[in-house]
Amino acid sequence: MFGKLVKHEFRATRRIVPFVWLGTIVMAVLNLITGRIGIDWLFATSLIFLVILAVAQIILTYAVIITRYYRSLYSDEGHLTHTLPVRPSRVLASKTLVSFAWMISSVVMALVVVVVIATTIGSKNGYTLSQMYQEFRAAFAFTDGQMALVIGLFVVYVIYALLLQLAQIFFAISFGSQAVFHKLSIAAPIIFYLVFNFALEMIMLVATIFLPIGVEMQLDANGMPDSFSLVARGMFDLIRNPEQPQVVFGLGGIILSVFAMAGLFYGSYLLIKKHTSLR
Amino acid sequence: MALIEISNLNKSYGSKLVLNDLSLNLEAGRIVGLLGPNGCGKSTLLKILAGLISAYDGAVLLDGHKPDIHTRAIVSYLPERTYLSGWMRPVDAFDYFGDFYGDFDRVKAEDMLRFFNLDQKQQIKTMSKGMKEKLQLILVMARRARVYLLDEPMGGVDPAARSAILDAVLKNYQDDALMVLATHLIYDVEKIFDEAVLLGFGQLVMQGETDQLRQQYGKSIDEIFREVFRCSVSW
Repeated sequence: MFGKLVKHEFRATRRIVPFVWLGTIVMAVLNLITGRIGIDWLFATSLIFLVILAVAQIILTYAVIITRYYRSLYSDEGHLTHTLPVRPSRVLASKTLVSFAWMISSVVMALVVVVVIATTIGSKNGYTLSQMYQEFRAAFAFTDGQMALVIGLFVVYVIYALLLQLAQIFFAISFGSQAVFHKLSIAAPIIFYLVFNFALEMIMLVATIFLPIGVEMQLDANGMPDSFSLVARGMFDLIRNPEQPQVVFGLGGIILSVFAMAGLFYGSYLLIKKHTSLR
Repeated sequence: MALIEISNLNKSYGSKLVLNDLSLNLEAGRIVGLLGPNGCGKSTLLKILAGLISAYDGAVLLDGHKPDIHTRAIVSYLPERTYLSGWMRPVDAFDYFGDFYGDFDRVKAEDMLRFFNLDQKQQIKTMSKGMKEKLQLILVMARRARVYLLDEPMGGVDPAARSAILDAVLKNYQDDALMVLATHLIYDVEKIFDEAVLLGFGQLVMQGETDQLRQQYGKSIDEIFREVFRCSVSW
Protein backbone atom coordinates (compact mmCIF):
# COMPACT_ATOMS: atom_id res chain seq x y z
CA MET A 1 0.00 0.00 0.00
CA PHE A 2 2.88 2.37 0.75
CA GLY A 3 4.08 2.11 -2.85
CA LYS A 4 0.59 2.94 -4.09
CA LEU A 5 0.35 5.92 -1.77
CA VAL A 6 3.68 7.19 -3.08
CA LYS A 7 2.55 6.63 -6.67
CA HIS A 8 -0.66 8.62 -6.24
CA GLU A 9 1.06 11.30 -4.18
CA PHE A 10 3.52 11.73 -7.02
CA ARG A 11 0.71 11.81 -9.59
CA ALA A 12 -1.10 14.51 -7.63
CA THR A 13 1.96 16.76 -7.37
CA ARG A 14 3.64 16.38 -10.75
CA ARG A 15 1.56 18.71 -12.87
CA ILE A 16 3.23 22.13 -12.46
CA VAL A 17 6.84 21.98 -11.26
CA PRO A 18 8.28 19.84 -14.12
CA PHE A 19 7.08 22.44 -16.64
CA VAL A 20 8.92 25.17 -14.74
CA TRP A 21 11.99 22.91 -14.73
CA LEU A 22 11.64 22.52 -18.48
CA GLY A 23 11.51 26.30 -18.85
CA THR A 24 14.55 26.63 -16.58
CA ILE A 25 16.53 24.12 -18.65
CA VAL A 26 15.58 25.87 -21.90
CA MET A 27 16.63 29.20 -20.42
CA ALA A 28 19.90 27.72 -19.10
CA VAL A 29 20.76 26.30 -22.52
CA LEU A 30 19.91 29.64 -24.13
CA ASN A 31 22.10 31.38 -21.59
CA LEU A 32 25.03 29.06 -22.28
CA ILE A 33 24.70 29.40 -26.06
CA THR A 34 24.26 33.20 -26.12
CA GLY A 35 27.19 33.52 -23.67
CA ARG A 36 29.38 31.53 -26.03
CA ILE A 37 28.43 33.23 -29.28
CA GLY A 38 28.32 36.68 -27.70
CA ILE A 39 24.75 37.96 -28.18
CA ASP A 40 24.92 40.18 -25.14
CA TRP A 41 21.34 41.49 -24.96
CA LEU A 42 19.93 37.94 -25.21
CA PHE A 43 22.51 36.66 -22.75
CA ALA A 44 21.52 39.33 -20.20
CA THR A 45 17.79 38.72 -20.75
CA SER A 46 18.12 34.95 -20.45
CA LEU A 47 20.25 35.40 -17.32
CA ILE A 48 17.51 37.46 -15.65
CA PHE A 49 14.83 34.93 -16.61
CA LEU A 50 17.06 32.08 -15.47
CA VAL A 51 17.39 33.59 -12.01
CA ILE A 52 13.64 34.28 -11.86
CA LEU A 53 12.84 30.70 -12.91
CA ALA A 54 15.33 29.24 -10.43
CA VAL A 55 13.62 31.11 -7.60
CA ALA A 56 10.13 30.44 -8.99
CA GLN A 57 10.63 26.67 -9.16
CA ILE A 58 11.60 26.58 -5.49
CA ILE A 59 8.61 28.72 -4.46
CA LEU A 60 6.29 26.63 -6.64
CA THR A 61 7.62 23.40 -5.16
CA TYR A 62 6.82 24.64 -1.66
CA ALA A 63 3.39 25.86 -2.79
CA VAL A 64 2.57 22.47 -4.31
CA ILE A 65 3.73 20.58 -1.21
CA ILE A 66 1.80 22.82 1.17
CA THR A 67 -1.45 22.85 -0.81
CA ARG A 68 -1.30 19.09 -1.42
CA TYR A 69 -0.80 18.31 2.27
CA TYR A 70 -3.56 20.69 3.34
CA ARG A 71 -6.09 19.74 0.69
CA SER A 72 -5.64 15.98 0.86
CA LEU A 73 -5.92 15.87 4.64
CA TYR A 74 -8.00 18.83 5.80
CA SER A 75 -10.26 19.93 2.94
CA ASP A 76 -13.11 17.91 1.38
CA GLU A 77 -10.51 15.59 -0.17
CA GLY A 78 -9.73 14.45 3.37
CA HIS A 79 -13.00 12.47 3.29
CA LEU A 80 -11.28 10.16 0.83
CA THR A 81 -7.77 10.17 2.32
CA HIS A 82 -8.97 9.40 5.83
CA THR A 83 -11.24 6.56 4.72
CA LEU A 84 -8.57 4.68 2.77
CA PRO A 85 -7.68 1.30 4.28
CA VAL A 86 -4.13 2.45 5.08
CA ARG A 87 -2.37 3.41 8.29
CA PRO A 88 -1.99 7.14 9.02
CA SER A 89 1.75 6.60 9.46
CA ARG A 90 1.96 5.37 5.86
CA VAL A 91 -0.02 8.38 4.63
CA LEU A 92 2.39 10.73 6.40
CA ALA A 93 5.44 8.77 5.27
CA SER A 94 4.34 8.85 1.63
CA LYS A 95 3.73 12.59 1.77
CA THR A 96 7.11 13.14 3.43
CA LEU A 97 8.95 11.02 0.89
CA VAL A 98 7.36 12.58 -2.19
CA SER A 99 7.57 16.14 -0.81
CA PHE A 100 11.23 15.60 0.05
CA ALA A 101 11.91 14.26 -3.43
CA TRP A 102 10.39 17.41 -4.96
CA MET A 103 12.30 19.66 -2.57
CA ILE A 104 15.67 18.04 -3.15
CA SER A 105 15.06 18.08 -6.90
CA SER A 106 14.30 21.80 -6.81
CA VAL A 107 17.48 22.40 -4.80
CA VAL A 108 19.49 20.40 -7.36
CA MET A 109 17.88 22.45 -10.13
CA ALA A 110 18.83 25.67 -8.32
CA LEU A 111 22.41 24.39 -7.99
CA VAL A 112 22.47 23.58 -11.71
CA VAL A 113 21.41 27.17 -12.41
CA VAL A 114 24.20 28.47 -10.15
CA VAL A 115 26.72 26.31 -12.02
CA VAL A 116 25.41 27.51 -15.40
CA ILE A 117 25.60 31.16 -14.34
CA ALA A 118 29.09 30.64 -12.88
CA THR A 119 30.18 28.97 -16.11
CA THR A 120 28.86 31.68 -18.43
CA ILE A 121 29.94 34.67 -16.33
CA GLY A 122 33.26 32.97 -15.51
CA SER A 123 34.00 32.30 -19.17
CA LYS A 124 33.37 35.97 -19.99
CA ASN A 125 36.07 36.82 -17.41
CA GLY A 126 38.48 34.13 -18.58
CA TYR A 127 37.76 31.55 -15.87
CA THR A 128 36.71 27.94 -16.29
CA LEU A 129 34.59 26.10 -13.74
CA SER A 130 37.58 23.94 -12.85
CA GLN A 131 39.72 27.01 -12.15
CA MET A 132 37.01 28.44 -9.88
CA TYR A 133 36.89 25.18 -7.95
CA GLN A 134 40.69 25.14 -7.54
CA GLU A 135 40.69 28.77 -6.36
CA PHE A 136 37.98 28.04 -3.81
CA ARG A 137 39.96 25.06 -2.54
CA ALA A 138 43.16 27.07 -2.34
CA ALA A 139 41.44 29.92 -0.46
CA PHE A 140 40.75 27.55 2.44
CA ALA A 141 43.86 25.42 1.86
CA PHE A 142 41.69 22.28 1.61
CA THR A 143 43.11 19.02 0.32
CA ASP A 144 41.03 16.95 -2.13
CA GLY A 145 39.94 14.74 0.77
CA GLN A 146 38.84 17.76 2.82
CA MET A 147 36.93 19.16 -0.15
CA ALA A 148 35.12 15.84 -0.51
CA LEU A 149 34.28 16.03 3.20
CA VAL A 150 33.00 19.60 2.85
CA ILE A 151 30.82 18.63 -0.11
CA GLY A 152 29.56 15.57 1.78
CA LEU A 153 28.72 17.68 4.83
CA PHE A 154 26.94 20.20 2.60
CA VAL A 155 24.77 17.44 1.11
CA VAL A 156 23.95 16.05 4.58
CA TYR A 157 23.11 19.56 5.80
CA VAL A 158 20.79 20.23 2.86
CA ILE A 159 18.96 16.94 3.48
CA TYR A 160 18.68 17.70 7.20
CA ALA A 161 17.51 21.30 6.60
CA LEU A 162 14.85 20.24 4.10
CA LEU A 163 13.50 17.51 6.38
CA LEU A 164 13.40 19.91 9.32
CA GLN A 165 11.49 22.44 7.24
CA LEU A 166 9.09 19.76 6.03
CA ALA A 167 8.47 18.60 9.61
CA GLN A 168 7.64 22.17 10.64
CA ILE A 169 5.37 22.77 7.64
CA PHE A 170 3.42 19.53 8.12
CA PHE A 171 3.04 20.01 11.85
CA ALA A 172 1.95 23.64 11.49
CA ILE A 173 -0.70 22.66 8.93
CA SER A 174 -1.97 19.72 11.00
CA PHE A 175 -2.00 21.73 14.22
CA GLY A 176 -3.52 24.84 12.65
CA SER A 177 -6.24 22.80 10.97
CA GLN A 178 -7.70 21.49 14.21
CA ALA A 179 -11.37 22.30 14.74
CA VAL A 180 -10.64 24.83 17.48
CA PHE A 181 -8.76 27.03 14.96
CA HIS A 182 -11.25 26.77 12.09
CA LYS A 183 -12.36 30.36 12.56
CA LEU A 184 -8.86 31.51 11.61
CA SER A 185 -9.06 29.53 8.35
CA ILE A 186 -5.71 29.22 6.52
CA ALA A 187 -4.21 31.96 8.68
CA ALA A 188 -3.88 29.46 11.54
CA PRO A 189 -1.30 27.16 9.89
CA ILE A 190 0.69 30.21 8.73
CA ILE A 191 0.71 31.75 12.21
CA PHE A 192 1.68 28.44 13.81
CA TYR A 193 4.46 27.89 11.28
CA LEU A 194 5.94 31.31 12.10
CA VAL A 195 5.58 30.73 15.85
CA PHE A 196 7.07 27.20 15.77
CA ASN A 197 9.85 28.28 13.44
CA PHE A 198 10.82 31.23 15.63
CA ALA A 199 10.66 29.14 18.82
CA LEU A 200 12.76 26.38 17.27
CA GLU A 201 15.35 28.85 15.96
CA MET A 202 15.66 30.41 19.41
CA ILE A 203 15.99 27.03 21.13
CA MET A 204 18.57 25.93 18.55
CA LEU A 205 20.55 29.13 19.06
CA VAL A 206 20.62 28.68 22.82
CA ALA A 207 21.54 25.00 22.46
CA THR A 208 24.29 25.83 19.96
CA ILE A 209 25.85 28.30 22.36
CA PHE A 210 25.40 26.53 25.67
CA LEU A 211 25.30 22.77 25.09
CA PRO A 212 28.82 21.41 25.63
CA ILE A 213 29.34 19.63 22.34
CA GLY A 214 30.96 21.00 19.22
CA VAL A 215 33.52 20.67 16.46
CA GLU A 216 36.81 22.40 17.15
CA MET A 217 38.76 23.75 14.19
CA GLN A 218 42.48 24.26 14.80
CA LEU A 219 44.00 27.05 12.75
CA ASP A 220 47.51 27.08 11.35
CA ALA A 221 49.96 29.98 11.49
CA ASN A 222 48.25 31.63 8.49
CA GLY A 223 44.86 31.44 10.15
CA MET A 224 43.75 28.64 7.79
CA PRO A 225 41.91 25.46 8.91
CA ASP A 226 44.40 22.85 10.02
CA SER A 227 42.46 20.07 11.74
CA PHE A 228 39.03 19.27 13.15
CA SER A 229 38.07 17.39 16.29
CA LEU A 230 34.91 16.66 18.29
CA VAL A 231 35.04 18.39 21.68
CA ALA A 232 32.88 18.61 24.79
CA ARG A 233 32.58 22.36 24.51
CA GLY A 234 29.98 24.65 23.09
CA MET A 235 30.33 28.10 21.56
CA PHE A 236 29.88 29.76 24.93
CA ASP A 237 33.49 28.83 25.65
CA LEU A 238 34.52 30.75 22.55
CA ILE A 239 32.53 33.81 23.64
CA ARG A 240 34.24 33.73 27.04
CA ASN A 241 37.73 33.35 25.50
CA PRO A 242 37.69 35.12 22.13
CA GLU A 243 41.49 35.22 21.94
CA GLN A 244 41.99 31.44 21.78
CA PRO A 245 43.50 30.08 18.54
CA GLN A 246 40.72 27.54 17.87
CA VAL A 247 37.25 28.01 16.49
CA VAL A 248 34.41 25.94 17.98
CA PHE A 249 31.20 25.25 16.08
CA GLY A 250 28.47 24.27 18.52
CA LEU A 251 26.55 21.14 17.56
CA GLY A 252 23.96 21.39 20.35
CA GLY A 253 21.40 23.15 18.16
CA ILE A 254 21.66 20.64 15.33
CA ILE A 255 21.45 17.67 17.71
CA LEU A 256 18.45 19.16 19.47
CA SER A 257 16.75 19.96 16.17
CA VAL A 258 17.03 16.32 15.07
CA PHE A 259 14.94 15.38 18.12
CA ALA A 260 12.62 18.30 17.41
CA MET A 261 12.21 17.09 13.83
CA ALA A 262 11.30 13.60 15.05
CA GLY A 263 8.87 15.16 17.55
CA LEU A 264 7.21 17.29 14.88
CA PHE A 265 6.73 14.34 12.53
CA TYR A 266 5.35 12.27 15.40
CA GLY A 267 3.04 15.14 16.38
CA SER A 268 1.75 15.36 12.81
CA TYR A 269 1.14 11.61 12.83
CA LEU A 270 -0.85 11.84 16.08
CA LEU A 271 -2.90 14.76 14.78
CA ILE A 272 -3.69 12.90 11.57
CA LYS A 273 -4.53 9.72 13.47
CA LYS A 274 -6.53 11.01 16.41
CA HIS A 275 -7.97 14.34 15.49
CA THR A 276 -9.21 14.21 11.97
CA SER A 277 -10.59 17.67 11.69
CA LEU A 278 -12.17 18.28 8.32
CA ARG A 279 -13.74 21.61 7.67
CA MET B 1 -25.10 -10.96 14.57
CA ALA B 2 -25.67 -7.40 13.40
CA LEU B 3 -23.15 -6.01 10.93
CA ILE B 4 -23.31 -2.61 12.63
CA GLU B 5 -23.71 -2.42 16.41
CA ILE B 6 -23.99 0.97 18.07
CA SER B 7 -24.40 1.27 21.84
CA ASN B 8 -24.87 4.43 23.87
CA LEU B 9 -23.18 6.61 21.28
CA ASN B 10 -22.62 10.22 22.24
CA LYS B 11 -20.94 12.83 20.10
CA SER B 12 -20.80 16.56 20.61
CA TYR B 13 -19.20 19.47 18.80
CA GLY B 14 -18.14 21.80 21.58
CA SER B 15 -21.19 22.23 23.78
CA LYS B 16 -23.60 21.05 21.09
CA LEU B 17 -24.67 17.44 21.58
CA VAL B 18 -25.21 15.90 18.14
CA LEU B 19 -25.69 12.23 19.00
CA ASN B 20 -27.34 11.53 22.33
CA ASP B 21 -27.08 8.01 23.78
CA LEU B 22 -27.85 6.42 20.44
CA SER B 23 -28.14 2.63 20.29
CA LEU B 24 -28.81 0.89 17.01
CA ASN B 25 -28.21 -2.49 15.37
CA LEU B 26 -28.26 -2.94 11.60
CA GLU B 27 -28.07 -6.28 9.84
CA ALA B 28 -26.58 -7.33 6.54
CA GLY B 29 -28.73 -7.73 3.44
CA ARG B 30 -30.82 -4.63 3.98
CA ILE B 31 -31.19 -1.15 2.59
CA VAL B 32 -31.72 1.22 5.49
CA GLY B 33 -33.03 4.74 5.15
CA LEU B 34 -31.41 7.04 7.72
CA LEU B 35 -33.89 9.88 7.97
CA GLY B 36 -34.10 13.03 9.99
CA PRO B 37 -34.21 16.82 9.81
CA ASN B 38 -31.13 18.97 9.26
CA GLY B 39 -28.64 18.81 12.09
CA CYS B 40 -30.07 15.63 13.60
CA GLY B 41 -26.73 13.82 13.40
CA LYS B 42 -27.13 11.70 10.24
CA SER B 43 -23.89 12.80 8.63
CA THR B 44 -22.02 12.62 11.93
CA LEU B 45 -23.21 9.04 12.44
CA LEU B 46 -22.07 8.07 8.94
CA LYS B 47 -18.69 9.77 9.50
CA ILE B 48 -18.19 7.79 12.71
CA LEU B 49 -19.06 4.56 10.91
CA ALA B 50 -16.71 5.45 8.04
CA GLY B 51 -13.88 6.08 10.50
CA LEU B 52 -13.65 9.81 9.84
CA ILE B 53 -14.51 10.78 13.40
CA SER B 54 -12.73 8.92 16.17
CA ALA B 55 -13.50 11.20 19.12
CA TYR B 56 -16.83 9.97 20.55
CA ASP B 57 -18.22 8.16 23.59
CA GLY B 58 -19.93 4.81 23.42
CA ALA B 59 -19.33 1.67 21.40
CA VAL B 60 -19.41 1.37 17.61
CA LEU B 61 -18.67 -1.96 15.94
CA LEU B 62 -18.66 -2.87 12.26
CA ASP B 63 -18.29 -6.56 11.58
CA GLY B 64 -17.12 -6.87 15.19
CA HIS B 65 -14.39 -4.23 14.85
CA LYS B 66 -14.15 -0.64 15.99
CA PRO B 67 -13.85 1.66 12.95
CA ASP B 68 -10.27 1.08 11.87
CA ILE B 69 -8.17 -0.03 8.93
CA HIS B 70 -10.12 -3.32 8.71
CA THR B 71 -13.53 -1.67 8.59
CA ARG B 72 -12.35 0.92 6.04
CA ALA B 73 -11.63 -1.94 3.67
CA ILE B 74 -15.21 -3.22 3.89
CA VAL B 75 -17.00 0.14 4.02
CA SER B 76 -17.81 2.10 0.89
CA TYR B 77 -18.55 5.65 1.97
CA LEU B 78 -20.09 8.43 -0.10
CA PRO B 79 -19.85 11.81 1.66
CA GLU B 80 -22.11 14.70 0.73
CA ARG B 81 -19.08 16.65 -0.50
CA THR B 82 -16.81 16.20 -3.51
CA TYR B 83 -13.79 14.32 -2.23
CA LEU B 84 -11.92 13.95 -5.51
CA SER B 85 -9.18 16.33 -6.61
CA GLY B 86 -10.17 18.75 -9.37
CA TRP B 87 -7.34 17.67 -11.69
CA MET B 88 -8.54 14.06 -11.69
CA ARG B 89 -10.53 12.52 -14.51
CA PRO B 90 -12.83 9.52 -14.01
CA VAL B 91 -10.08 7.30 -15.39
CA ASP B 92 -7.66 8.59 -12.71
CA ALA B 93 -10.26 8.06 -10.00
CA PHE B 94 -10.74 4.46 -11.20
CA ASP B 95 -6.96 3.91 -10.98
CA TYR B 96 -7.00 5.34 -7.47
CA PHE B 97 -9.87 3.18 -6.24
CA GLY B 98 -8.50 0.13 -8.04
CA ASP B 99 -5.19 0.52 -6.22
CA PHE B 100 -6.57 0.98 -2.73
CA TYR B 101 -9.72 -1.14 -2.69
CA GLY B 102 -9.35 -4.79 -3.57
CA ASP B 103 -13.12 -5.02 -4.06
CA PHE B 104 -13.28 -2.29 -6.72
CA ASP B 105 -14.73 -3.59 -9.98
CA ARG B 106 -13.37 -1.44 -12.81
CA VAL B 107 -15.52 -3.05 -15.50
CA LYS B 108 -18.62 -2.28 -13.48
CA ALA B 109 -17.42 1.29 -12.96
CA GLU B 110 -16.89 1.78 -16.70
CA ASP B 111 -20.35 0.36 -17.41
CA MET B 112 -21.89 2.80 -14.94
CA LEU B 113 -19.91 5.67 -16.44
CA ARG B 114 -21.45 4.88 -19.83
CA PHE B 115 -24.87 4.48 -18.20
CA PHE B 116 -24.60 7.99 -16.77
CA ASN B 117 -23.17 9.30 -20.02
CA LEU B 118 -20.00 10.68 -18.42
CA ASP B 119 -16.74 11.17 -20.27
CA GLN B 120 -13.88 9.25 -18.69
CA LYS B 121 -11.36 11.87 -19.83
CA GLN B 122 -13.20 14.94 -18.50
CA GLN B 123 -11.50 16.68 -15.60
CA ILE B 124 -13.55 16.78 -12.42
CA LYS B 125 -13.08 20.54 -12.01
CA THR B 126 -15.00 21.06 -15.27
CA MET B 127 -17.92 18.87 -14.19
CA SER B 128 -21.23 20.11 -12.83
CA LYS B 129 -22.26 19.29 -9.24
CA GLY B 130 -24.60 16.59 -10.48
CA MET B 131 -21.90 15.01 -12.66
CA LYS B 132 -19.50 14.92 -9.72
CA GLU B 133 -22.13 13.27 -7.55
CA LYS B 134 -22.79 10.67 -10.22
CA LEU B 135 -19.07 9.95 -10.55
CA GLN B 136 -18.66 9.54 -6.80
CA LEU B 137 -21.68 7.27 -6.70
CA ILE B 138 -20.12 5.17 -9.46
CA LEU B 139 -16.90 4.84 -7.46
CA VAL B 140 -18.76 3.84 -4.32
CA MET B 141 -21.18 1.42 -5.96
CA ALA B 142 -18.51 -0.23 -8.13
CA ARG B 143 -17.02 -1.68 -4.97
CA ARG B 144 -18.18 -5.06 -3.72
CA ALA B 145 -18.28 -3.72 -0.18
CA ARG B 146 -20.04 -5.23 2.79
CA VAL B 147 -21.30 -1.86 4.03
CA TYR B 148 -22.35 1.09 1.88
CA LEU B 149 -22.77 4.44 3.61
CA LEU B 150 -24.38 7.00 1.32
CA ASP B 151 -24.82 10.55 2.61
CA GLU B 152 -27.34 12.46 0.51
CA PRO B 153 -26.45 10.73 -2.76
CA MET B 154 -29.01 12.71 -4.74
CA GLY B 155 -28.69 16.11 -3.16
CA GLY B 156 -27.35 17.84 -6.27
CA VAL B 157 -29.09 16.06 -9.11
CA ASP B 158 -32.23 16.90 -11.02
CA PRO B 159 -35.41 14.86 -10.46
CA ALA B 160 -34.97 13.04 -13.78
CA ALA B 161 -31.55 11.81 -12.76
CA ARG B 162 -32.73 10.63 -9.36
CA SER B 163 -34.55 7.59 -10.71
CA ALA B 164 -31.51 6.72 -12.81
CA ILE B 165 -29.34 6.94 -9.69
CA LEU B 166 -31.77 4.80 -7.74
CA ASP B 167 -31.72 2.23 -10.54
CA ALA B 168 -27.92 2.23 -10.47
CA VAL B 169 -27.88 1.83 -6.71
CA LEU B 170 -30.31 -1.10 -6.79
CA LYS B 171 -28.62 -2.76 -9.76
CA ASN B 172 -25.19 -2.63 -8.17
CA TYR B 173 -26.11 -3.31 -4.58
CA GLN B 174 -24.91 -6.70 -3.29
CA ASP B 175 -27.73 -8.69 -1.73
CA ASP B 176 -25.64 -9.68 1.26
CA ALA B 177 -24.42 -6.13 1.93
CA LEU B 178 -25.82 -3.48 4.22
CA MET B 179 -26.64 -0.10 2.73
CA VAL B 180 -27.32 2.92 4.92
CA LEU B 181 -28.68 5.82 2.92
CA ALA B 182 -29.12 9.21 4.58
CA THR B 183 -31.43 11.54 2.72
CA HIS B 184 -33.98 14.32 2.88
CA LEU B 185 -35.60 13.22 -0.36
CA ILE B 186 -37.66 10.49 1.24
CA TYR B 187 -40.50 10.56 -1.28
CA ASP B 188 -38.09 9.72 -4.11
CA VAL B 189 -36.28 6.87 -2.40
CA GLU B 190 -38.52 5.28 0.18
CA LYS B 191 -39.54 2.55 -2.24
CA ILE B 192 -36.06 1.00 -2.05
CA PHE B 193 -35.82 0.96 1.76
CA ASP B 194 -36.21 -2.30 3.66
CA GLU B 195 -35.91 -0.48 6.94
CA ALA B 196 -36.24 3.11 8.13
CA VAL B 197 -34.35 4.73 10.99
CA LEU B 198 -35.66 8.12 12.07
CA LEU B 199 -33.21 10.27 13.98
CA GLY B 200 -34.37 13.34 15.84
CA PHE B 201 -31.75 15.58 17.35
CA GLY B 202 -29.29 12.80 17.98
CA GLN B 203 -31.78 10.31 19.33
CA LEU B 204 -33.51 7.33 17.79
CA VAL B 205 -37.12 8.33 17.23
CA MET B 206 -38.30 5.34 15.26
CA GLN B 207 -36.89 2.20 13.68
CA GLY B 208 -38.69 -0.51 11.79
CA GLU B 209 -39.41 -2.40 8.58
CA THR B 210 -40.80 0.08 6.06
CA ASP B 211 -43.71 -2.19 5.11
CA GLN B 212 -44.67 -2.63 8.75
CA LEU B 213 -44.43 1.10 9.43
CA ARG B 214 -46.62 1.89 6.43
CA GLN B 215 -49.16 -0.70 7.57
CA GLN B 216 -49.07 0.42 11.20
CA TYR B 217 -49.54 4.14 10.45
CA GLY B 218 -51.48 3.79 7.21
CA LYS B 219 -49.12 6.32 5.62
CA SER B 220 -46.03 6.45 3.48
CA ILE B 221 -42.63 6.84 5.13
CA ASP B 222 -42.50 10.38 3.77
CA GLU B 223 -45.80 11.20 5.45
CA ILE B 224 -44.71 9.57 8.72
CA PHE B 225 -41.51 11.62 8.59
CA ARG B 226 -43.45 14.85 8.03
CA GLU B 227 -45.78 14.04 10.90
CA VAL B 228 -43.03 13.06 13.34
CA PHE B 229 -40.89 16.10 12.60
CA ARG B 230 -43.68 18.60 11.95
CA CYS B 231 -42.95 20.55 15.12
CA SER B 232 -39.26 20.76 14.57
CA VAL B 233 -39.65 21.67 10.90
CA SER B 234 -42.31 24.34 11.42
CA TRP B 235 -40.41 25.63 14.41
